[in-house]
Order: sequence, then structure tokens, then C-alpha cells
Amino acid sequence: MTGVVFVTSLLLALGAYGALTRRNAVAVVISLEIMMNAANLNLVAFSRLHTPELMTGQVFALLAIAVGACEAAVGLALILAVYRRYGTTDLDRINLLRG
Amino acid sequence: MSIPAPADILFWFFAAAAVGGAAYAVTSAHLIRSILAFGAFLTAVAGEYYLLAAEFVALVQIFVYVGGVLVLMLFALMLSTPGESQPSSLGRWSPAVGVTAVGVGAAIMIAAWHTPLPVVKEPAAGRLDHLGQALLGDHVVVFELVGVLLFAAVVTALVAVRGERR
Repeated sequence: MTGVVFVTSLLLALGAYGALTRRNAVAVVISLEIMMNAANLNLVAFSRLHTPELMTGQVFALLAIAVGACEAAVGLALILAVYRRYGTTDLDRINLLRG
Repeated sequence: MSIPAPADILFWFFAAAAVGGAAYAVTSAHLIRSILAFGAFLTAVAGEYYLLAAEFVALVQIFVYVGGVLVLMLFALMLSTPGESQPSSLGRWSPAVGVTAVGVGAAIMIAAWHTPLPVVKEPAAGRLDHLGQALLGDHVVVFELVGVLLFAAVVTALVAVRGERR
């Protein structure tokens, strides 16, 4: 059981590293989804551990998957809109609001 | 602890696949390879769900993420990046960020190592109908709210990609 927490914390660290270092917006969305999946895995694991008959963790994981799909859809739509306006998805070059 | 059980071997196999896929997805300079490694990661996480007695969540993970989000990402990549090569995907601050990420991960691992966790119980029989009753019984309001959120997200995505008004 501690193994699950090990794996998910490793995945969370990888996702955080990617979200902070990648410059392409699509890669940042991928990193965010990696972190979200790690959290979901923890939810399911702890549901199995504590109250497997109540299914609360699995219900929460299902709802979180739906929210993650929403996030990906809106994020990728925003990336397309930004690309149309600026001609790039490089986050270092989208700096209109930088002082 | 003599011979590991098959479930344990499968668990660590999927864990290694998930971590490897995530590492490749995060570090690869080629976005297509990044997305494909992300697909491998998602499939491995679905396998972990299956091993944790959450078969339906594993199925939904395959359908929604591998079948939906991954294809959406491929489409977004095809429509947005004009063959633009990515010489270096890492920014100036990547050493500091790496140290921070490793620190956070190590802190969670140490905390998990020192926390006594209860023994895994055997899951109850007839899990899927329990899940359905939980989803449409106790949690039906949240379920419906997620439907509203999905609708709002679809409308937002359509408005965002519609383009300039004539």
C-alpha cells in the first residue's frame, strides 16, 4: 500500500517538474493531467484501504476524471485560440501582459 | 516474503510503466512522442485502477483519457504547432524546479513511509452495483453538477475556437 503512495508522489513530482519547465502549452497540459491522474490513483487506493464498501473514493475519482476531461477540452481550445492570435504556442513568447 | 504474488508483480510492472511514460512525456523534446508516452502512462494508470479493484474506473480511464483527451491533444498539436522544432524544452530555471519537485516528492514519500496504514480489506462482492448506487444515490447532486460543468466546458471550448465574428 505504501508502494501506491510512492508511485503517486513520484508521478506528482514529475508532473510538477514538467508543468514548470515545459515551454509548449500542450506539454504543460500533459503535465497537469499527469498530476491529476496521480491524485486520482491515490483516491482509489485509499478508498480500497479504508471503506471499500462505500465506494466514495471511486465515485470521487470518476467525477475527477470528468472534471479533468473538461479541463483538457477548455485548455486545448484556449491553446488553439492563442495560436490563432499569436501564431505560436510557446509560453515564453506569449508575453503581452508582461510589464 | 518469499515469492511475490502475481498481483504484486503486475502492480510494479504498471507502476514502472506509468513512471517511465510520465518521465518520457515530461522530458521528451518531440511533442508527438510526448503525447504517445502520455498514452502509455494513462494505460498503465488504468491497469493500476484495475489492480486496486476499481474496474469501472479503469474502463472510464481508457474511454475518457485514452480515447478522448489523447486524441484531442493530437488534434490540438496538429492544428497548432507548424512543424516547429523544439531545440530545448527546458527553461533557465529547470535545476531549481527539479530540486523543488524532487523535494516535494521526497517529502510525501517520507511522510508516507512514517504513516502507519491499515491493512487492505477484501473488497465486497458485487462492486459495480454498489458503485452505481453510490453514484446515483448519495452523490447524485455532484453527479448532476458535473453534467452542468461538462456542458459549460463544451460551450466554452466552442466559443474559444469559433474564431473572429464577422
